Amino acid sequence: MSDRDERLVGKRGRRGDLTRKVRGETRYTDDIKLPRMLHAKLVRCPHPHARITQVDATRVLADPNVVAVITGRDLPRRFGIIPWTPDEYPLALETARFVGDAVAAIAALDERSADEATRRLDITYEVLPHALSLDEAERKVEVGLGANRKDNVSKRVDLSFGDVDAALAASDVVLEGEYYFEGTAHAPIETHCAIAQYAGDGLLTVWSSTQVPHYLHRELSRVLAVSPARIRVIQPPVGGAFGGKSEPFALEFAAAKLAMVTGRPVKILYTREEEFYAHRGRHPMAMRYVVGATKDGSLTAVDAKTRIDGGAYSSFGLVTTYYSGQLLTLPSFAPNYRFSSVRYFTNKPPCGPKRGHGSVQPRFAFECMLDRIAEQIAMDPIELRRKNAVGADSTVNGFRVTSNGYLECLARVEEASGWKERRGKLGRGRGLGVASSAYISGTNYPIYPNEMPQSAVQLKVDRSGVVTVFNGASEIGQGTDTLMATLVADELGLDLGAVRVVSADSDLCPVDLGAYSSRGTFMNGNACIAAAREIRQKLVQAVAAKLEVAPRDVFVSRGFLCAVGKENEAVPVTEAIVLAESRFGTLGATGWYKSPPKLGGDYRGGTIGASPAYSFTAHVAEVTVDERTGVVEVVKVWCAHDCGKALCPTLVDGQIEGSVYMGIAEALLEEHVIDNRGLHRGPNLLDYRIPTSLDVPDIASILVESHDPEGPHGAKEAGEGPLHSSIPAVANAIYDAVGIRLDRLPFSPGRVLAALRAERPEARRTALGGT
Amino acid sequence: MTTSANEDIGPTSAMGSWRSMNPKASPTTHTLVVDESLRDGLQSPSVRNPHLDEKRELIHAMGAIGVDVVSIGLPAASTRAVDDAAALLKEISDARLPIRATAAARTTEADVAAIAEVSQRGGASVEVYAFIGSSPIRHYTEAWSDDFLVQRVAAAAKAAERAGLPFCLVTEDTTRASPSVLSRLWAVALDSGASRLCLCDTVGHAEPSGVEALVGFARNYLDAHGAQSVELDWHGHEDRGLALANALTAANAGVERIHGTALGVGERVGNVAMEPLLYNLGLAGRRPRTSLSALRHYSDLAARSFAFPISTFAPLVGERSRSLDEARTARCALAQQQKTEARATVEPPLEEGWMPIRLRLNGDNIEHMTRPSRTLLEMLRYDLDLVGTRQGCDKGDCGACTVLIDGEPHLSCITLAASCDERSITTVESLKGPPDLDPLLDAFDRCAAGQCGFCTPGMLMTATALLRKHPRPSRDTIKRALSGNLCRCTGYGAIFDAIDLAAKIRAGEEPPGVGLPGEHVPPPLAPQQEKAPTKEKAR
Repeated sequence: MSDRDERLVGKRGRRGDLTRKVRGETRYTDDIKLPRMLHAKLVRCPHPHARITQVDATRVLADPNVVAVITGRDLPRRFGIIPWTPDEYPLALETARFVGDAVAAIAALDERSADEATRRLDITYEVLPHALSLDEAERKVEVGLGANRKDNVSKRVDLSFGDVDAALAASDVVLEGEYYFEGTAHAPIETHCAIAQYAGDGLLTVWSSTQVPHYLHRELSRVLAVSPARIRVIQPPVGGAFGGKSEPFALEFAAAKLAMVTGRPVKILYTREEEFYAHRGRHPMAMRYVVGATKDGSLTAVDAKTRIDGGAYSSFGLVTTYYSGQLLTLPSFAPNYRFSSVRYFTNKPPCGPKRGHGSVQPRFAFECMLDRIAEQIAMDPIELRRKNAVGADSTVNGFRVTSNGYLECLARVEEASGWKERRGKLGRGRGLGVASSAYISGTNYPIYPNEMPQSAVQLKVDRSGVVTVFNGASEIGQGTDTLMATLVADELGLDLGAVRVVSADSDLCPVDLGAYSSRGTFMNGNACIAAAREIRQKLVQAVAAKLEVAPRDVFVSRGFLCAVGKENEAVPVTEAIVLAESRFGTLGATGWYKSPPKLGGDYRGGTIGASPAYSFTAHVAEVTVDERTGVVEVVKVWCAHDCGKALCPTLVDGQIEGSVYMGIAEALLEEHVIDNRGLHRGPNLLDYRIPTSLDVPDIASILVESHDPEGPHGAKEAGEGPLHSSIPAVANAIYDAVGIRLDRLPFSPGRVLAALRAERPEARRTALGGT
Repeated sequence: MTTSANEDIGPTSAMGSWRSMNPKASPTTHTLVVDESLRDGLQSPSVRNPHLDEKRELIHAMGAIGVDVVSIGLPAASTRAVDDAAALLKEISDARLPIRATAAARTTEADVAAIAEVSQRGGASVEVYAFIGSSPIRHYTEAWSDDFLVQRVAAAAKAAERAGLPFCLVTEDTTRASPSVLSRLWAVALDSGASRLCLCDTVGHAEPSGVEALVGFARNYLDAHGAQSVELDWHGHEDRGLALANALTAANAGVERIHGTALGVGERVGNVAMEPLLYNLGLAGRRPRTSLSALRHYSDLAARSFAFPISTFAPLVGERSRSLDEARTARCALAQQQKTEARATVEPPLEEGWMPIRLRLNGDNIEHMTRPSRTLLEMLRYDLDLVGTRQGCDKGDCGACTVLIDGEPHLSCITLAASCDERSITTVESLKGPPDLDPLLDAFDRCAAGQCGFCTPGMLMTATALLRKHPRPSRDTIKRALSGNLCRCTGYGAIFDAIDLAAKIRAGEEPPGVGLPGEHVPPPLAPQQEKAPTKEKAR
């Protein structure tokens, strides 16, 4: 569209899909009810580590409400989201590796009967030794959770760039720090749900609240031994995911198998408690950092050692282990870098990707270290970051950077927060802190190696003037449907009311790899624009012929196509469609995106963390700390995020605010703790404290647009980057407020008080009001 | 809620039930039931003798329906009978089932000895139910003299006493026996230490009034002989279709134990069927009620074990009974009830486990049958298909299920549907779409105040109630009102903005419907014009 004022892209608009979603007109997975549908429940292991010696279903099957029972033996084929580490069975086959590991599934006429039946399944376990912490995983090698059964190691990555030891030796300042991040859960409001139908013609259809319908499709075929051509996967709208639904889970396989066994549709809905045990949340990490700098503020080297608690299975762990080091080298970094990360298996709910996969934890540690360096050399921490901004086109670990709005992000939060005037001058108990980060806009490669597109759309054009976008991407709340409609409407001059989006149905839509790694806007956006431009060319040619002008003189306006010099002969879009269809036949187009070849460093693992484009973020947080109670309140957060181009600014704001909210919650409230019996300390939304409307800070989201040359209209990601540095910004603000360095998350009142007392012994006496 | 069961006349409640006019219908005694399926039941030529595993399963099912006493067979019949009985006895004690065991014997020392062996092997006491023909026709056909009978009874009772087993004299064909013969047999039994007498309607000869007379006669006899502690059993057959009526009469007349068999299996046309027996005794308040599902499970198991089909029209457990929508049955009753002016009380479930409720739901008056345990959320989502109301935690933590009850926000996941009787429920589906788009729906979409949209219905209901009370709430008031509704996507800021915007739209300070799709869509197609036929066509 040539008239920029008429473009929808870049303008604040409505979501468009919310009213249908909330009134129940669009159905989420659990809203679907099929004739004769059975309800199933998973039976879960009560031990952290146990061999299953016997399963006796006699008492269960005696219940006339129970229709079928399956165990691991009914699904004896392994799966795993990463093709190199398939170590899970839908239902544990021989050994269960954590409290909550699924062991059997029971289908009954109703949910309550299925639930009651789970208590009557007689399972005999032989309890095995277990490891429930990083230390135990390191020490108790006899638990043998690793692939070789000789230790508990899941993945080890050691990478080195430059000469770290020499650089540290030559540094004026070398600081060391240890940090611990307990890990957190996604806690989407919609729990996992799947429905499977095995139709009379033998077609298996699975509806699932997944973020990765394509990978689910493949794993279903593998595990069930059913041709992928006889499986259809449909992903209805998802009620929140945040990475927690980005791999197949026991429920999808169990529902499918039960549907095949019983010949009836089967639904499985996880309870809130199951949600916490199915987990795949943020990994606990114990991180040790050594950072060197010269006294004029140039970072010299970073040496990182990270131990990662992976929980019971691999999940995305191979990637997590790389990400824990690879994603740190932007935006401010040193020219020498070494990291050593080891992921251990423990007998805890498996960890996986949560918003900011693998990189939120090290970001917390590293940005706290930068704050200490700045203090040590008496430099403004924003200035330190500016000075060490990675300006080159390539990072120390070989990642290509095509656009970079980092310095603008820093400048914008510096200005908006009144940093220069206010920092250090707010009085004791109130402070400002800064931190910054960068994140990927999609991974460069699909999870399973192939040369095919990573994202695709197909457009179908109707004579009525409606264009339907068949879109492989997964709408999980982030708004890809709205974005696709907006891009198509702009290219073709359509009203949003004339664009329909059909998403994530393997029978209707082309393959998209899923809603993970912040890939949607960049990859799907490009795919969508490519398809729409193909249609646009045909409309333009048809209109040019009618108006007897050159195609290059035709431009698209809202609702019309016009020609330069013949503005009063505007052709309505619908008429243009009729002209084009008359001339070219039925209109349709495909568009796809494939990332550029050979991104990343030329070393083993050098492609992991490589992305076609990186987003940049800077945060300033303002906090108050009550020294009597240890309560930290985040008053305000300024977050400047370089998303390349805000295609739908309302949605980008929503991603920034949602990310900051989630980060602040991890900083202050949330902690996914498994106790020494392998039990979650509070698997519900009362004990696991996600923020209420009274717990959130005022958030100022600031959009920075660096116009990436390869992004759709210049756009990059916005869904995960703005979370990262919110946590260290709070940590650094707490230091500014009361002079304590907190190295363990979350910053709960107890930890704050303990740190205050350690820092100032007199505070202890004051607090106790003692003599 | 409950009505007095002591009313002398008339229906027992406004529900219009003439079920029972028995002035004595406030039973104080607890009637026990004896399951004879594995003894008398097996005498039917139409049933298969189940495998031991099936018998074990049956015993558990008997326990599940609340059977008090189980006959574990006639051990003297064969060695298999001894083995099975011993195994069943062991199962009862191993599984700690609250069941007492009996076994049948002819009145011979050998038969009692077989029971003693079972008791030894099974490691628990077994009551000896020793039977002997008591009617003249039996004596005639068997050529037994009265003295012979007396001697047999005494010998068997003594054998039981020696083995330390309780003894019950079962007078076969009691309903056709003369009082004098019965008196003689009972006398020797009591003298020999019997603790109970079993009255039998072996060929389905008696009518309820006769049963009442017989029980009265026996009770008087026991009283007269100072044997008040001796208890009575009733064992009746179905030949004239009166077995159940007779059994209930016997229970009303004070018999302590009533016999029955699964599906009524037994000799000729069978025994009292256990399913209606238990169900009716429960209904009459003579014992705890048994759930229909447990009864159906029991009868299914029996049908499988005995290879005995369940009649399509069998009461309670037949296919017809099961497929009848229980709700419909009860709804008819509800309609009747509404005809009566007084709606003072609702009799609790007509059919067990269902309750009628009346709601005003989003402005519609509806009648609905629900289970006492059904939550309002389950009813809305799964029974009424109002899926806009969401389940996020199922325990009152997240607020996604918020609906309005009489205008106030409530968590439907922790509200029982039955508690909403006669109340007004408002769900998110009540919020109007175009052309009178609800300002909250309008504003939430405009501000992207929902992302995944899953918590949004709850937010909208809380906000609806808020705006009703505070047409122009401050940001702080909004924050506090929403503190029970968790959102995981937005960070809440957009939600605060949306509620503020909705308030302004309602107040006319902001225009509604800004940016709704459809402004630039093509116009509707023109109406078809009727054209005069052209000349070509006319030709």
